[in-house]
Amino acid sequence: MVDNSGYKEIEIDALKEIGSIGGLHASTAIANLIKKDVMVEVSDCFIAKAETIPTSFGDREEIVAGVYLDAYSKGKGCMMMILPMKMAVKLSDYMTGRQHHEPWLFDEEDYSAIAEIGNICASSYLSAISKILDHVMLPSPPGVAVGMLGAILQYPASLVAEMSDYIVAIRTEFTIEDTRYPGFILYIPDPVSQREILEKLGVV
Amino acid sequence: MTDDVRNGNGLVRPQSNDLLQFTPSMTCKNEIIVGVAEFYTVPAPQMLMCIGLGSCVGIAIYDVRAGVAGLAHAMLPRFDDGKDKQNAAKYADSVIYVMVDELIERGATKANLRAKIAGGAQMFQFISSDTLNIGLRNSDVAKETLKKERIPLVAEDVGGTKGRTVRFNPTDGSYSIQIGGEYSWI
Repeated sequence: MVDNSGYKEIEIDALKEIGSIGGLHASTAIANLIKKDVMVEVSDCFIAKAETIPTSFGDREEIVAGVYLDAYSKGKGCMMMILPMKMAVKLSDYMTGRQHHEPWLFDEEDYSAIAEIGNICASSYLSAISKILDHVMLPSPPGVAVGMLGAILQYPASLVAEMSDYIVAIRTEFTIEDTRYPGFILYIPDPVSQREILEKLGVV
Repeated sequence: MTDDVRNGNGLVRPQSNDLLQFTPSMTCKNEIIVGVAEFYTVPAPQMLMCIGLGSCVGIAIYDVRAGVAGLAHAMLPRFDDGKDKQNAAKYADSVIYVMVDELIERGATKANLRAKIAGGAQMFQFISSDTLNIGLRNSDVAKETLKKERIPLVAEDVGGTKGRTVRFNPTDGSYSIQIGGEYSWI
């Protein structure tokens, strides 16, 4: 079970709300791009030790596509988009107008398509939050990886472990109308932005 | 023999061992899964396993003659640079010191210790390459610390862009590495 480690219930709700706002903007951006419906679930907020990130978000041996971006504001947070392989291939097909067949091979073009989708998602997610915070938030250029979920999530885990002990991760799940498996967006705000978000929403 | 438990493969696992603590991440077969920022030392028939090594590094130190081995799943390079000082198993340098102590406590001889490492991949292909490569730093620090401790590094499989699942067999010191669907042994 997640221990709240000093966070009040209302603060966690506020962080979840940020995930919903950001996630909805991001999903609208994808929906406009691929002209399909994108459904967003209610977001979750995890507060845990950094080393638990790789095992907290599903089967760690599942092969997924992940996009990683730094979220620059006053501090440096992390943005991740994790897509199950079938969904990644579908998204890339919708975007590039190609058609993949059985072995679902993931080539260079798919890599850049997924990087672009991650970039668009993260930019709209962060610009939504930056309107609340009243200062600019920008993502770095995206990095894409295909591999085991646990292995991919080790990268943000070790980055945030260098900065702080406990991390706050805001997860927003989304599905595209004809795929059944959900992908998710993960936002790990740095401590400075975290405090700012809570102050702006008036819960501290 | 009454104190021992026989599992499905007919292998014997000693029961009355203070060092072997059973935790939820342990499977009841003959493989212990070493989670992120954990390490285990075990006597010979017991197998050790790390699932999904990405930028983390899996450090195996073993003494075949004494029949003991340890496997660590280190997440960050240096203890001194880290924020969390509670868990030495998180860092590639401190976990080696702690693990070697525990192996010697289990009956290993320092001069007979050998090491094998795997992991330290760079999962993400960044357009800008100035992002610091944690995987490379992890494996470099692990190698450096092994050298400092005078433990010979017998084999390594580090770097690349793919995650690994590794199994260590203390009986013969073999380290099996699975990348995607492909297996290899070092």
